[in-house]
Amino acid sequence: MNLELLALVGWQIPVLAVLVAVIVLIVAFQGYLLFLLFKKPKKKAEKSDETPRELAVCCVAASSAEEPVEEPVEEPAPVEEPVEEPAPVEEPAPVEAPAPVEEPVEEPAPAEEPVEEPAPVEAPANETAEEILEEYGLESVEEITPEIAEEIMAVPTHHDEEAREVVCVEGLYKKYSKKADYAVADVNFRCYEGEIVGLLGHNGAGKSTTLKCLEGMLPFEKGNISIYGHDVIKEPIEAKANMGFVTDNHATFVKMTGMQYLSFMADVYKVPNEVRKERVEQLEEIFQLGDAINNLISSYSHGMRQKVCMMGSLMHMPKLWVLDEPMTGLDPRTMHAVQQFMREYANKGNCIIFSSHALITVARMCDRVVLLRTGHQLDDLNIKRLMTVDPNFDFEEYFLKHERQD
Amino acid sequence: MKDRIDFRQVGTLLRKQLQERASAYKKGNFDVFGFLLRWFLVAVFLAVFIVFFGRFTDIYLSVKTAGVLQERTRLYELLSIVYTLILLFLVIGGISQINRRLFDADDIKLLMGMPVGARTIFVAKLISIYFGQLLVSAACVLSVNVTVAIHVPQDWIFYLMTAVFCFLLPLVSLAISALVAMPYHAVKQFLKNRFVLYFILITLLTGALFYVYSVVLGAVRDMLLGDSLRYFFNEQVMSFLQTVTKYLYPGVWIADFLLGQNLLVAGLGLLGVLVVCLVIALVVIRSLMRWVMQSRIAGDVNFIRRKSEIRQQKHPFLALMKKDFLLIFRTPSYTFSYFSVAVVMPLMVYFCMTIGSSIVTKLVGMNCNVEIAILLTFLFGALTNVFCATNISREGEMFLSEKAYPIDYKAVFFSKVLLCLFVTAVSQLISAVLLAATGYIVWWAALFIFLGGVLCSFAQICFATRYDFNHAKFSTEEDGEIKESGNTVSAVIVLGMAVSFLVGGSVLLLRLVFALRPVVGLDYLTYLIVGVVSMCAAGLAYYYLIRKLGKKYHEFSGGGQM
Repeated sequence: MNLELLALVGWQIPVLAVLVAVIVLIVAFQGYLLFLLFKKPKKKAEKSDETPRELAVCCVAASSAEEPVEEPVEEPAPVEEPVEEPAPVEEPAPVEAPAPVEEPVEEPAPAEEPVEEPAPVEAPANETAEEILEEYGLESVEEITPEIAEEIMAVPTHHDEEAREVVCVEGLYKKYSKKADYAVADVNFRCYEGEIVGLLGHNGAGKSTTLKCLEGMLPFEKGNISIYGHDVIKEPIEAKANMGFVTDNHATFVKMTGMQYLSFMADVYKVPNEVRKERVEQLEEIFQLGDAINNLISSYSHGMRQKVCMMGSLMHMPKLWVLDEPMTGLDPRTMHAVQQFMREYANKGNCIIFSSHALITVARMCDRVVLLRTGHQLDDLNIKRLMTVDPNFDFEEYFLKHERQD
Repeated sequence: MKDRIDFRQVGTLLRKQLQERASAYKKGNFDVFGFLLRWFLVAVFLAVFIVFFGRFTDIYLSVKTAGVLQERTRLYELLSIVYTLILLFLVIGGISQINRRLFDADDIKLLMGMPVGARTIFVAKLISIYFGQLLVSAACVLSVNVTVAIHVPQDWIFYLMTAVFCFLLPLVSLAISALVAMPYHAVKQFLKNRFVLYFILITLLTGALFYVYSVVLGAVRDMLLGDSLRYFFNEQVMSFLQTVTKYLYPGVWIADFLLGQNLLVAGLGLLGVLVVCLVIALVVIRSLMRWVMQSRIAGDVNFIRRKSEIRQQKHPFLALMKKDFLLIFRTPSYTFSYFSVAVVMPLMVYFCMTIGSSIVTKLVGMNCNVEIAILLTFLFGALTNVFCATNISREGEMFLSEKAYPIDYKAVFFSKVLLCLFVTAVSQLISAVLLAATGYIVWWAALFIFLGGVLCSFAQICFATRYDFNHAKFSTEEDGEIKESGNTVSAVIVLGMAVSFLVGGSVLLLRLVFALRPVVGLDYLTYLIVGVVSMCAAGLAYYYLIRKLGKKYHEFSGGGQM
C-alpha cells in the first residue's frame, strides 16, 4: 500500500511540476508580451517613423493612462516667485488706485508708504461722452488711441455713497503646492453693490484660482478676502451666505433631477417656502429648461448643466453672484437672456463678479475689469467709462496689444 | 473605405490597455493592501476549494450504483458537472468583462473619433479580455485537474488536455459570454434609470444567491460532521445526475477529452460550439457595439420623470443626507454594494448562525449562540460598512464645490456618518430581532448585540470617512462613479474584520476555553468585553474623525485621481 502510494506520489510530482511550468509559462508569456509592448514604442519614438494613425492612438493611450495629476487643470504657467517675499498687506491699498503694475515680480511690498501716494480721483457721477472727450482734448471718438483709452480707463469708478463694499480682496497669494510657484500673487480688488466686475486674462492667468479662493473652495497662503465684511476664513458661513457661485466645470449632483438640485440649493441657502415656487418660475423664464428640469442631470447636455448650475446659484438671490466662465456652452438666446439678467440684477444693487475669455462680452457688460497675467494683477480698468465714450471701442485689439507688450 | 483590421493598431491598442493596467502598479497608485488582500483571498479560496473538492471527489467516486463501483463513470460525471460549472463561472466573468471593456469603456468614445477602425478596436478589446480570462481559467482547470489526478491516477492525455484547456476554455467561455452579453446589456440599459426596480431585483438576486450559498455551506457542514453526504447520493439522485450529465454540453465533451474517450465526437462538438458561438457573437456584438457607441455619443438615456415641483424647506443637514442617499441609490453599483447588502445582511447572519450554531454545538457540546451571534453581527456589519470608505471620494469634484456652501464642515461630515449609521443600524436591528425571534438568543442579549454592533459600526464609519477624506481620490469617470477600490477600502476591510474577529473571536474563544471549567460570571465577561471594546472603538474613531477636521477641511483643495 505504502509502495503504491509512493509510486503514486512519484508519478504525480513530475506531473505537478509540468502543470506548474504551464502556469509559469502563461505568466511569463503575459510578462513577455507586456515587456514587448512597452519596449516597442520607445524604439519607434527614437526612430520617429510612427505613422500619424499610431501616434493618434498613442495619444489616447497617454491621455487614458492613469497618471497622477498633482495640480489642478487651472494651474497657471509658472509665476516667478517674488525675489523679496512681500509682506502681507498691512494697510489695504486704496480701492480706486488702479496704477498699472508694470513689473509685478520686482514690485516691492504693496502699500509700504500709502500716505505719500496721491489719492486717486474718482470719475464724476453720470459723466457724459462729451465731458470725457473734452477732458482729454478730443473732438471725436476716432481720435482715441490705445494710450488714451488706457488713461480713460485708469480713472477709478464712481461709487454711490450708499453702495456698500461687497468684496474685498487684499494681497491674495495662492500656490498649489509648496514647491510650486504662486498661481496667484498679490491680487487686490474691491467690488461694490451694483457693480459688474470682470476678471480677464489668458488661460492660466489665475482667474479661476482667484474666484475659488473667493468662494472659499481653495485655501490661500497670504491675504484677506471678505464678503460684506465677513472674512471667508474666520466667518465662512456668514460670508458664503451672501454669495451664489457657478464653477467653471459646471459640477452638479448628476444623480439628481434638475428640480431636486434646485430644492437642494434652496435648502442649503435656507430659502423660505413662500418664495421658492416664484423663484423657480422666475429662473425658468430666463433659462428655459422646460420639461428637462424633471430629468436627471446626468442626461443633460453641457449647456443644460450650465443652466441648472446658474439657476441653483440664484435660488437665494445672492447679493454677490460669482461666475467662472458663465457663457461657455450657452446657446445664443440664453446667453443674451443671461447677459440681460446680469445687468438687471446688478442694477438692483447686487454685485456680480465673473471671469471670461469673451472680451466683447466683458467690455459690453462690465463696469470694471481686473486684468490678470500669470497670477499677477496688471490693472483695474474702468471699462464702463471707456464704453460711455466709445461703445464700439475695439477692446479685443486693445487687450491683445496689451498682451503682446507684456 | 473598407473597415479592415489593422494589426499594428491592434498592438498599439493592446499596449495602451497594458499601460493603463501598469499605471495601477506605479508608486503612489499602487494599492499594496488591496493587492496582498486580493491574492491572499484567492489563495485561501483555492486552498479551501482544493481541500473540499478533494474530499468530495473521494466520496463521489466511491458511490456505487446497483451495487457496483464504477469509478471511471463517476469521474466522467464529476468532470462533466465541474467543467460545466467552471464554464458557467467563466461565462459570468466574461459577460462582466465584455460589458466593462467593450460597452461601458470610456476610451471607446475617444477612439471612435480617431482614425482607428471599429473592427480594430473590437479585436483589440476581445484579445485583452481573452488574456484576462486566461489566468482565471488556468487557476480553475489546474485546481480541478490536479485534485482529480491526485485521487485517481491519470494518463498523459489527461495532462496534455489540461494544458490545452487552460488556453481553450477562455475561448469557449468568451464565445458563449459574447452571446449572453447582449441580453444582459439590454436588461442593464432597461434598468439603468429605474432605480427602485433595480434595487428590488438586485436585492432579491443577492438574497437568492446567498440562500444558495448557505445551502451549499449547510451541505459542507453535513460533510464535515459526518458521512451523511454519502447517503445523499442514493439510487434516485444518481439516476437523476446520470440523466442530467448526458445533456451538459460542452462540459461532457471536455470530460470526454480529458479521459481520452469519444475524441472525434467531442472534438467536433467543441469545435462546432466554438465556431458557431464566435461567429454569431462577432456579428452581433459588432452591430450591438455600433448601437451602444451611438447611444453613448448621444448622451445618457433621457428618462423623463414625472413632473415635480420645488419641495418644502428642509434643514440643510437633512438636505445633505438626502443628497447622499440619492447619490447612492441612483448609482447601480453603489446600490448593490451598500443598500442591497445591508438588506440581505440579516439573512446572511441568520443562515450563518444556523450553520455555526450546529457546528459548535456538535463539536463542543455547548451553547455558544450569543458569542457566535456577536461574531457574525460584527463581521457582516463590518463588511457592509466597507462602502463608507468612499464617503468622500464618491462625491468627486462636488465635494470641493460644497466648501462654497454656507454650511458648517461638521454638517458635511456628520450627514454622511449619520446616513451610513442609520442604514447599518436598521440592518443590525433586523438581524438581532431575527436571531431573537428564532430563539437563538434571548431578547436582552439581542438588544445588547444590537447596541454593541451599532457602536462598532459607528467606529468603522467614522474611521472610514476620515481616512477617505485624508486620502481622497476622485474618479475620472464621466459620471464620477468609482469603479475600482483603492487603499482606503482595503484599510477599512482589514480594520473592520480585525475588530470583528478580535471582539467576536475573543468572546467565542473564552467561552470554549472555559467550557470544561465553568467560571462564575463568564456570561457577564462576554458582555463586558463587547461593551468595553465597542465603546473604546467608538470613542477613538470619533476622536480620529474630528481631530483637526476643521483645519484640514479648510486646507482641502481637491483629491487625487483614480
